[in-house]
Amino acid sequence: MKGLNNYILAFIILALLSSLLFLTLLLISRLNKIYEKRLINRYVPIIDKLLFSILFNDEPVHKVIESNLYQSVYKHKSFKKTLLASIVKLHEEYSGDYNEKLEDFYHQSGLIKISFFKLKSKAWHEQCEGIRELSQMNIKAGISDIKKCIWHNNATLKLEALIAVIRLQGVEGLSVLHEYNEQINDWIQLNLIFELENSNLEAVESFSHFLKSKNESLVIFGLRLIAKFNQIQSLDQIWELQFSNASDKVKTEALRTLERLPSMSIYNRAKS
Amino acid sequence: MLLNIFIERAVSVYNAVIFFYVILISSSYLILAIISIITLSRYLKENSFINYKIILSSDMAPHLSLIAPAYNEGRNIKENVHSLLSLSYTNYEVIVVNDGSKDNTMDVLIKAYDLEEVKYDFTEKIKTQQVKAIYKSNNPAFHKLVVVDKYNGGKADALNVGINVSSKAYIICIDADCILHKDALLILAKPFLEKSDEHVIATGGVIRVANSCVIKGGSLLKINVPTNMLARVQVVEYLRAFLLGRMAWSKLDGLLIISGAFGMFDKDIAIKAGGYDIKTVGEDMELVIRMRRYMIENNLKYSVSYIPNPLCWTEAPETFSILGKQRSRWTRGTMETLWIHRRMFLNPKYKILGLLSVPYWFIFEYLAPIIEFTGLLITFVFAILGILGWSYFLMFVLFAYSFGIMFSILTLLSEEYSYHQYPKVSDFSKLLLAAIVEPIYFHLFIVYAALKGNWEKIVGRKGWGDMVRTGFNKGKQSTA
Repeated sequence: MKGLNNYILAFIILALLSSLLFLTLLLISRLNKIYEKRLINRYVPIIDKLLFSILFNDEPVHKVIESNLYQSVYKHKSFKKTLLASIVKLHEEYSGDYNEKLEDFYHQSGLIKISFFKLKSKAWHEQCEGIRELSQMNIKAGISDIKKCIWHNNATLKLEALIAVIRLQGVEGLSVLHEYNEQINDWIQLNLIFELENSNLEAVESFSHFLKSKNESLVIFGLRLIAKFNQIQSLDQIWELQFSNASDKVKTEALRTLERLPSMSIYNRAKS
Repeated sequence: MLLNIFIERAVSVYNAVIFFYVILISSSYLILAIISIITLSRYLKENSFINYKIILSSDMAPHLSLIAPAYNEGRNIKENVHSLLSLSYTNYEVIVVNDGSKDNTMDVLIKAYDLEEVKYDFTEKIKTQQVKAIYKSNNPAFHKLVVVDKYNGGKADALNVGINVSSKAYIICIDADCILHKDALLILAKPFLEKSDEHVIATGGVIRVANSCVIKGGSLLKINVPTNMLARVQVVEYLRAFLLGRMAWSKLDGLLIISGAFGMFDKDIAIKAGGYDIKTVGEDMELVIRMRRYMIENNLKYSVSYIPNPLCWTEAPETFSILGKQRSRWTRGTMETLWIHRRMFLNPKYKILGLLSVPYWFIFEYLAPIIEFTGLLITFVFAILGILGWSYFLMFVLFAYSFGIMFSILTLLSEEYSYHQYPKVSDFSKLLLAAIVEPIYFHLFIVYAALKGNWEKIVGRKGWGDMVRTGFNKGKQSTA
């Protein structure tokens, strides 16, 4: 009985100490959040002022960087983090000259180095952040490193890299998929199609080459792209799939693609 | 002399067995918590890169039927249906099944949504109570809404009617009184897209306590900690169960339950498995197990997903009387489900479900209150006989109490690091206080309710019992 009592006492002490530890961590986390919120509240007006002067007052970037306001805060980690997030967000919302100015600031301020540093990190989520920042800011210099991530084991990193390649190279970026032997699930396909749709493509080459792939998911992806971009020139290849050894899944998708393509072209094909 | 030695030995053995059981149950909680925290942390990191909005514009998104059974929900039904119709999703319909309500549920729906009886063809794939009529709205703004009026048959029967009427490939079963996050369907649909190479048969979501939250027009505007202590304790309890329990079971591929208040299922598999079982009050857990059994017994590759995001908010009981009925029903549901699927117990054919999940539910979920009560009873007898080791007993109680508090604080820490839904310091202090009083104020009652559930099952009591809802942001009201 005494032995058990000692064990229980040890467990009680352990539970109490753990409670104290968790409580301390909780308080630290809560205080950190409050502190960070305060910092952001302090930095946001400064960032707005700096970026406003670059974007709308045509202030040269180097002057803004040399300004006392920028110099007083730029060394702070939280400031850089908030500034980087703001620039990336603005770049997503604006276009043309505004984006060129933002890209110029991204280079000159050295924020680009932070993104490259993240890309080379060993933590997959930091790599994801780096890839997103570089691709949003249209930095093509990182493309070879980004392409390497396509073969990473982590699904999120893989997807982020695929999206970035399309964002930076447009339809040409899809060529990386030719060597792809893994399954491209519906979620990846949906993201890639979304990215292509938002790439302001002018002339889209035929996606029918995907239909010859041995990777079933790539064939389905090709069919979906054909349907999305109304590529009626691929009708013959789609019909061929119906009579090939393709799986039921592929044949069903081929049928759906035919249904989605403009009806007149299908009618003409059937007639011939 | 011999009797004394025997008694002493028996007491020692009893103490050792109870000690071993408590250590085992505490360790299992800790192991599940560690797995949950690791999984949750990874999920949150992945989730921060996801743009759910792209699902909105895609025709690849799964087509969904939201099924909401309603029984005497007249007071809240209008705004609850409005909330369901305003979700961010393209391909979905809302099927409200009025399960023979005795109040004005049907009248409210007809008036609020300009409903008209229509001829609606559907096949009765699952046998149910007779449908009286099916209504659609004359207002194009409510084209997604289908209202089914049927004879009373219970929640499971109403859900089965919803499955029969559904025209989409996936069903989402929710309680009509739940408030869903605007992006709930987008988030719930993602696993079905993500794992297109295997068959996702179900996805479960987290249920959060909505008492004292500000809800307007069926939308959650502000999250508050409940003012009522009983509901507040349930906030901690729900967080513990959903964040530190089910997350781990999902990771281990051993999830047995998807809450009846919010879950998404592959309709075809749900029908093939036989739909909801109307004979049990634990129809949510029972369906998940039956669907999983169906897949395993037919050698079909499948998975069950779990989403930890706070997507569904519900009203928790605020009085011991209603809480007692709810928990007694949960116990009966567990008993019935475990009995129906007793074949799975320690059966390697069902892999982790048979070897771990079902035995765990039996030993640590179902038996725990019975063992606790038996322990208290024996302790009482020992005290009367004068053979109780008081120091051991007190140390034991202190350990149970300190472990309970430690685990609840770990739960609050997980919430702080993950979804941070209670940012106000005052709210956090209230939850901490709830965690401290829970083992005394709440836990003993839960043990009592579970025992009552056992008794009711033994004497053959069936059904859900009367439920009283306060209603969101409304005064007290009564519905049966």
